[in-house]
Amino acid sequence: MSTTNRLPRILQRLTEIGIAITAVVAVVFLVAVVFTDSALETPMEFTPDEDTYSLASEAWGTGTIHDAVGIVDFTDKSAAYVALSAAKVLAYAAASLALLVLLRRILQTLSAGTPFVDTNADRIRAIGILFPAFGFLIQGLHWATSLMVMDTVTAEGLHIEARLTLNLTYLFIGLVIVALAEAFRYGTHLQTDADLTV
Amino acid sequence: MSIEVHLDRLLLDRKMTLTELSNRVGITQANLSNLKTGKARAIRFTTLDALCRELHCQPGELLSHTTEPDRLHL
Repeated sequence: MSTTNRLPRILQRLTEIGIAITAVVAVVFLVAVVFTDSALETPMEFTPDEDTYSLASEAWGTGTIHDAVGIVDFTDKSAAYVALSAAKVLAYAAASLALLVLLRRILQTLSAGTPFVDTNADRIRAIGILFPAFGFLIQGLHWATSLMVMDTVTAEGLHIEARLTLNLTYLFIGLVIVALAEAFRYGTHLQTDADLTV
Repeated sequence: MSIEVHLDRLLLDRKMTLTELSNRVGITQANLSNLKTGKARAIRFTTLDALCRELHCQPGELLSHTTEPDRLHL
């Protein structure tokens, strides 16, 4: 068996191992979030009420903190907060599993020697859509948890905000993959033409 | 497609089977069957050359154009 035939099979096995590991890790994280006292990380933005937060540097003089973004760990958890955190874990797990399952199916067709089929173009496009969908979902969930916490948190001298960050990296990755999926679809038409040329 | 392939008639005239032709021209039976049934989208000059050589015919005897569109004549 040549290396070109072996590589898809090896990658296929790796994705199968990845699926099993992802499922186990998701369950472990879910149990940790719901049933243990582990801290839940929440991204938040801090702004001093006044310019009272200052820094001193021997070389540069004094400086003032205007705003900062950080992660807050909460150990006392409300049911809603735990539910949203569990939703984050489930979103990560679902996206990872969907990606790995789609990848495994593509690799299966590659191992069988018939990768240029329309279903694979659909699978690649689905991966491309999955990236920004997951990215926006997880950012929304971060924002929702931050909003929930923000109402209950008080910190003297600090103004706390829940920041909705729109990370466009996922969107650009998705666009590139969708474009490649359409190029792949054109490849399937060429493959059909080649197959039906006598 | 309005191209007719007369492989059946030529095989009958030459008293040759598809398997025999397949062995002579070195093209799989599946591909010759695609050609015969009109599923093929294109034919290579090398294939046409081999078919004409073994069937002792001209390309015009193997292929013809019909005025009826979107109908396959087998």
